[in-house]
Amino acid sequence: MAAGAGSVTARLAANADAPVVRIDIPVSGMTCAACQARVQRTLVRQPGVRDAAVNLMTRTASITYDPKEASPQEFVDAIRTTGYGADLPIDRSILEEQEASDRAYAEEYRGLATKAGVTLAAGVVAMIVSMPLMAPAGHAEMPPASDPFMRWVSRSLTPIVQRALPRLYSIDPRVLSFALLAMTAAIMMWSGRTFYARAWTAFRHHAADMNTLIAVGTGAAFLFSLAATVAPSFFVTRGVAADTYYEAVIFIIALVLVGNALETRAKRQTAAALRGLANLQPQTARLERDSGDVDVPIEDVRQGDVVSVRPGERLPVDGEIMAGSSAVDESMLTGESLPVVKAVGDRVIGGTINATGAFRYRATTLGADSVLARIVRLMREAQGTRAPVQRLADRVSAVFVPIVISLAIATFAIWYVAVDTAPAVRAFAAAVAVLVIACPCAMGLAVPTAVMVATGKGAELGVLIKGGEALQRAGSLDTVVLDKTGTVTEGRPTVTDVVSYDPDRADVEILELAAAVERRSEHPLAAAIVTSADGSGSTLGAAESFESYPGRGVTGVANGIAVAAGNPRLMAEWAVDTSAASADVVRLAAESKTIVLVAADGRLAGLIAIADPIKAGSRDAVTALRRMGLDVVLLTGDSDVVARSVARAVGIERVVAGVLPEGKVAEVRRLQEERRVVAMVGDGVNDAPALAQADVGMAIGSGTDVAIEASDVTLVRGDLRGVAQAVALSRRTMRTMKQNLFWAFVYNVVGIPVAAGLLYPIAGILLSPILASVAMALSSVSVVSNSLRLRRYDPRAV
Amino acid sequence: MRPDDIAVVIAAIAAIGWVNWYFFVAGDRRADGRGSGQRDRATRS
Repeated sequence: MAAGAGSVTARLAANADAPVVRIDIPVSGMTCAACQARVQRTLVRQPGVRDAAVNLMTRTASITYDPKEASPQEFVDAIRTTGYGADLPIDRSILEEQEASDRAYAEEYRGLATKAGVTLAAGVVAMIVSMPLMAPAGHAEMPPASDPFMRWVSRSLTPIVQRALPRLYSIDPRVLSFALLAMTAAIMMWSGRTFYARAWTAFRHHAADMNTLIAVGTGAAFLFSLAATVAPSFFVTRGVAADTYYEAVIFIIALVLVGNALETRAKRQTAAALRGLANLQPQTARLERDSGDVDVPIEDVRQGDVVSVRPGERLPVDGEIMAGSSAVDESMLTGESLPVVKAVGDRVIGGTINATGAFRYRATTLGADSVLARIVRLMREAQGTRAPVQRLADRVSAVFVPIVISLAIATFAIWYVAVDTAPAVRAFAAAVAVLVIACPCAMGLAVPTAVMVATGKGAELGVLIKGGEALQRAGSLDTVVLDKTGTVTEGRPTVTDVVSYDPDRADVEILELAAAVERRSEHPLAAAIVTSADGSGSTLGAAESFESYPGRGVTGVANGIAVAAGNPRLMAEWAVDTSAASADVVRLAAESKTIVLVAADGRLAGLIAIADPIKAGSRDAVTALRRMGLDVVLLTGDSDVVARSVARAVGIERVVAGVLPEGKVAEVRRLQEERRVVAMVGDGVNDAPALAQADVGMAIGSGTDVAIEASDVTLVRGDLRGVAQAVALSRRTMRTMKQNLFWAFVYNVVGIPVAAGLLYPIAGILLSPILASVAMALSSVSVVSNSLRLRRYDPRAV
Repeated sequence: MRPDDIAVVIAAIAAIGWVNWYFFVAGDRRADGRGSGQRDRATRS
């Protein structure tokens, strides 16, 4: 015993060290939450599997396993034994994968639509053929058809059919019954085959799903009709109408197929945004070679290749501009509506459109590493995730089907006992209606479809949301913490003011002199001065001599002039009189700007003020967030004075300044301890720990540098308005999910009792199995359509 | 009550019992590896 326990421990320890591998296996044939749960349960039970997550919408099983204990082929076999299709994944790019999944959806839709069309037509024929059987004249001694829907149809259509097809009524009813039997059997074998096959495999695994309900419902109706056809006297002698339900069987199968087809089409539509992204990738690139420009397939482009782009063309790969300049339309990736000006040294993204100029650029990231492929991959992963709100639906659908079967049996018994005339027939119709109306499809679709549409919608706006959980948390936020540098502000110190105190020197010359000495400094403020000087056309090179005084400034000789650039302390050391600048120094310091005084040959020449400018959308974004009822907090490592001046400028009241990166984590935690749901918005690099601590971490990208793996929400465009859009979209999505779940539950809660005949004693309402199948198909379609409404929602309006 | 009513009610109770046993009790046992599923695997291997 002890030895046994020891070996188990050893095995567990070995497993802990073993490297695990993740594989995504495409799974086909899953239609509802119960199907998905079944495949997932089977995979989790496989030896060597550490974790398995099956995704109904992307139709993949992500399995983490120990390659020493299991192989992908075993998983494929295991999935196939559950009755679903599976294949080993083919090694292909994420974009090709998306195309393949689209093709699979399109094929499935075509198949379902054909079957649904043919079966519906067969249903109409069956209904017409069964008219003479239902007419009281058919079996005069029997009451008319017990199915209320069929009775109504029979009453309203009989005169028409009698006039149009009088010969039909002269055919022996037994011949008609056998013809219907043959037709129904054929339809069940052809279009209903998958339901029965899957229901049977599920049954063998002690599981039940939507297929079980349809198979049991139509199977029972068929067997009853078969008996009534083959041995009608058995029923008649017992006072039971030898009614047949052939047309009901055919119609139920047809309507379920129609529902499935519509659902497949709608699911395809939910992936439209993703398809749009994948389609952005051009197939060829024009490369510059010694022999001239050549068009090559995109797969043949290598890092470092020089790509040439003309106006109006789509950029084939990511890269960095080497020559030329242009405006590039990046709206498809960033949501930014205006074209972005790009010049030498700027980075460009594959898939965006060159608007005006022609330029050449060097290819940098390719294939799976490209920005587009990473966004598509993230979206595919996100769209498959489940929101916590779905757990309720999962729990219900797991026990749903056996309970419904039990209810159907109880319905049969109660009707049988309660009804005097033709009890078996009525009891039977009600039981079949209960089976058919109850389907967990709508419940299984309620959340994933909303997640899919919302993440796609977000991607169109440059707001990448990492899945259902992030969506749900973002929907319940009440506090947004904004990092200052790089989030509210540009994060790049920029020269804002230049003042000359020397009548012989223009502002530009002040800048030029300072730049000449700062050119050799590595201080961030120096970079701001040099950039500004270069931008205003400075031709003065670096100073001949240079000395740096840490914390004070720099000195040097440029163009024969002794230049000092730094703070008042440096000026004092150099005995420069700065009294002329004192008023400006006080004024600019109050605006929390950093001041660099510039002296030339021992006399004060001018002043340069540097600040980190506030981003264009920051104020609007803060206003929008506050309008949405969110508390906005500014969190920064900068001094209180600087922080407050920025906060004032954008309209934030609550400021926490002077915190170190660890302090940011503590601040977020402190807010969470106040039972707030906190979003942290930062640049994704310096703020990573705080982003991770927050309930929702939002990384703000700068167009090309998309830190999409690091956070719950990534704002591709470096604009704070994306935060408000993300929150608005999430709130709207949560509302959609809750509506979907509500309707899916209400539909079943109301539908099942009505189908069971609860309203019959009160209002005489009885639901035909055919109407029940219509209701079931409608419930799934309405849930998916409700999710699709999110596509029209525009969070930019917040 | 007709005589066959009693038969139907008894049959229904039995059927409901069996459905719940088959899908919940036997299904769970199988999921835990205690049921027929485990025997199947053992025989196969």
